[in-house]
Amino acid sequence: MNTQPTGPTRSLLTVVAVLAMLELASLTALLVNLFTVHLRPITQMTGPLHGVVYLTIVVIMIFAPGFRRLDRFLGVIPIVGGALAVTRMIRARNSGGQA
Amino acid sequence: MEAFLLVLHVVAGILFVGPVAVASSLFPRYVPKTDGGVSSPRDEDRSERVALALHRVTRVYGVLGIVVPIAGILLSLVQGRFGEIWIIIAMIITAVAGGLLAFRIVPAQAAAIASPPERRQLGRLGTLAGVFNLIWAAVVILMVVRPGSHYVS
Repeated sequence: MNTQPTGPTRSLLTVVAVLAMLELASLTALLVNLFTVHLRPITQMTGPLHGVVYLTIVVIMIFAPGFRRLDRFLGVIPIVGGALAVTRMIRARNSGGQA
Repeated sequence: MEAFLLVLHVVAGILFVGPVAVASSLFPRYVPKTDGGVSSPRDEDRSERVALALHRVTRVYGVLGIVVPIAGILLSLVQGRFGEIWIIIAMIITAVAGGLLAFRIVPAQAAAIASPPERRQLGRLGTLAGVFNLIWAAVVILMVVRPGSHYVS
């Protein structure tokens, strides 16, 4: 009954989850910095980090095997895409992969 | 620091990405295939051992190749030119090349070794390797021409 559902591997989902958190954290850092002290070094370091993280998520969501088509489209949405993909995947798995 | 990062970036590009480009291009030529009735003399060179070696080169050097974008990003930050358009474009297509390698080329090679592929699948592998190499050619052109750069070297 509990056949292994086809989909991205668990380790890949972990990677996406970590990246999604990093994306959100870096954006938060950027915005907090913008509306408070607005230090240029923080902007210079965190901005590129945020971009690289987002880019990595997008490439994983487009190329990695196992994601469903809708998840791929949702996955490239900035900020929420990665988290959305992970939660949708986990939910689909918990409901026995027959969502 | 700048000189060190630049040397690391270029040397890693040559020594790590180069082998991946060659190995992934040669793989379809050497992996054993289903003979499908027709076999050319060149097919005698096909062997699982060679295919495994090429697959290993693709995989291991592909992982090592991560050094190239990391050194490149650090270099651009040190030089304060991260936001220049040619760097951003190069990063995007490099990421695409990385995704192609990790999620398309390497798994397809593993599948081809596990069960001998047909002619059509070999063609697909060759196409992927070709696209991968073309992307790197485009990146190198961007690195040399540097369109939109304000940096005075």
